[in-house]
Amino acid sequence: MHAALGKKRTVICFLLPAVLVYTISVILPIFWSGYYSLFDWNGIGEKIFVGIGNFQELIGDQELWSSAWKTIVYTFFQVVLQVGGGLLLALLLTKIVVGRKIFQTLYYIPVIISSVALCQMFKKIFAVQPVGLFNQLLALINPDWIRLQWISNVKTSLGMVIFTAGYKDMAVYMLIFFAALLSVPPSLKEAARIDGASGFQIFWKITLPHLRPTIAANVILVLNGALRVYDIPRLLTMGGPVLSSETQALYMYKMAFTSMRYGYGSAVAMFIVAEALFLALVVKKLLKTEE
Amino acid sequence: MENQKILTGSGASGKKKVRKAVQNTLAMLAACIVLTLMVYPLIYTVLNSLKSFEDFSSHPQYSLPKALYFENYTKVFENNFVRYFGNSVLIAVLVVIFTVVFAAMAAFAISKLRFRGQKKMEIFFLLGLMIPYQVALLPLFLTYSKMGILNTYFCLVLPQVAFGLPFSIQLFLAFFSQYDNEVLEAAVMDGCSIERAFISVVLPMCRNIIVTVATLRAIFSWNEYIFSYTFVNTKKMMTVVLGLSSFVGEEGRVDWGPTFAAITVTVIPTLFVYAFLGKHMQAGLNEGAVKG
Repeated sequence: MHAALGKKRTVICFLLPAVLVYTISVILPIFWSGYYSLFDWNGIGEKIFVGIGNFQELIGDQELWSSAWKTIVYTFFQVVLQVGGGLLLALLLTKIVVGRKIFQTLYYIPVIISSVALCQMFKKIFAVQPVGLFNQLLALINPDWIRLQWISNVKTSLGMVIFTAGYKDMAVYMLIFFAALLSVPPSLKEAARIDGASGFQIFWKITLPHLRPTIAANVILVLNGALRVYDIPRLLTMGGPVLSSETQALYMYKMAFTSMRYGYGSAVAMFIVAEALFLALVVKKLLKTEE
Repeated sequence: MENQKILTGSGASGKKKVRKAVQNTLAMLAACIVLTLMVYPLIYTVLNSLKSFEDFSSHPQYSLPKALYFENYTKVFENNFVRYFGNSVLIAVLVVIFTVVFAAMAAFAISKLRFRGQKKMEIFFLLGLMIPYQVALLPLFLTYSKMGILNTYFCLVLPQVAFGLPFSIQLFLAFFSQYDNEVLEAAVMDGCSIERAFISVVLPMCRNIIVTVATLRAIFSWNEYIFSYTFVNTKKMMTVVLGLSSFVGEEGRVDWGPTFAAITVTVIPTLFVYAFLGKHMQAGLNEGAVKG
């Protein structure tokens, strides 16, 4: 029996397809990217070795830091919206007595709509020319508000990106929290209630501590996704107007594919990887020591 | 439990009952408001896709269509969308098949077969969850363009399979860890080869998890944007999502009707899959997220 399960040929034959595909498309490109980042190269001419030159340029690159800062702001609000909002929605679900399943199913719809479709919908809803749904509704309250700009406004464009992304994925975390909430032992809550604890006290002292590992896992998940966000800012605002919603992934794409600076674009990509790993580590540490 | 109910039910009952009823009503109200926010944009899109240009420009957008107008949909289907649909379906099917087969095999090996470095192999695949796909984008683009395989199904399917493996393998691993070895051992004792046992014993037991992984991958693949946007620049190879993007650029400036129709057309298949298999999909996302 054990011999059969340990046969080398069998093991290799089961692992090989996945290992091969995964190594070629996911693991090797990291090394290639690292390698390209040491060169000045536009894809057509000679590769010129510049060593850490690209990384030195990163340090003084204002647009990179500005896009990195926007990404941090974006990420912070994604954590608030998706983890916080998701938890609120999950709590709401537990309070619904009739048709809970239906609500749960329908809340999930934005998750399965493609970013392209969702961004198109929001572009129309928040449009100014011709006037979109949102401003038509606002105009019912105050006719002047019909001219308010949302997506094409330097002050609100990043906010719109944050809102759209949060809206799209909130229900994912709602479901995770909902499952976790159902696993809180009812006997504990019952005991607290008999001791005269209020609903809020029960939540704060019993439910929330129970949810802590789930919250930590969700924060890491959101963080990981948000730091690399590309779709929604690209599709909703194109990073604009005047770079006001340009995230670091958009900047990387612009450097690599629009400006054809393959070496520098790769350096930006390496920067994103390093930053994502670093922040994930910091957050993991922070959430652990709090326990 | 029963006793408690009777106790609380008899004594301080009236006030509590009223409070409970008020709470339930408030929760229901909040739930309905959230529901409107989550679903209305889609309803708005479908309704407006059925309006003529006159109807659309002379009435508020929240009003219902005055008459059902299907011309918008004709425009969508005259614009290559049949081809885009074919591409997206084919790609999704290939991605699902390869991801499920490869992930199931690898997870089976990691959790049931015996070899040195099993744990390391698991971590190797888990690493993929942390890697931003941007890093891979440029190297893959350069490789594909050097090989002359940009604008092929191959270059659209391969990275999607590869980047889908870590999560899918994780789901299969979670499943296999609860799965009893006895049946497998019995089959092997009976002289069945591992390969045979995998196909005729293990896979049938995985039915649920296979449906979960397949549904998730199918929807992700249908909605995938960045790889196809980078690797495809011919109309012939465009997916539904890219087609929608380019259609809006060409048609959508003033007359929004066709855009709304195009959005509706691209969303309907995902809604169908979700309606029938959503349960599995949600269960899978939960499982993966909590374990991760």
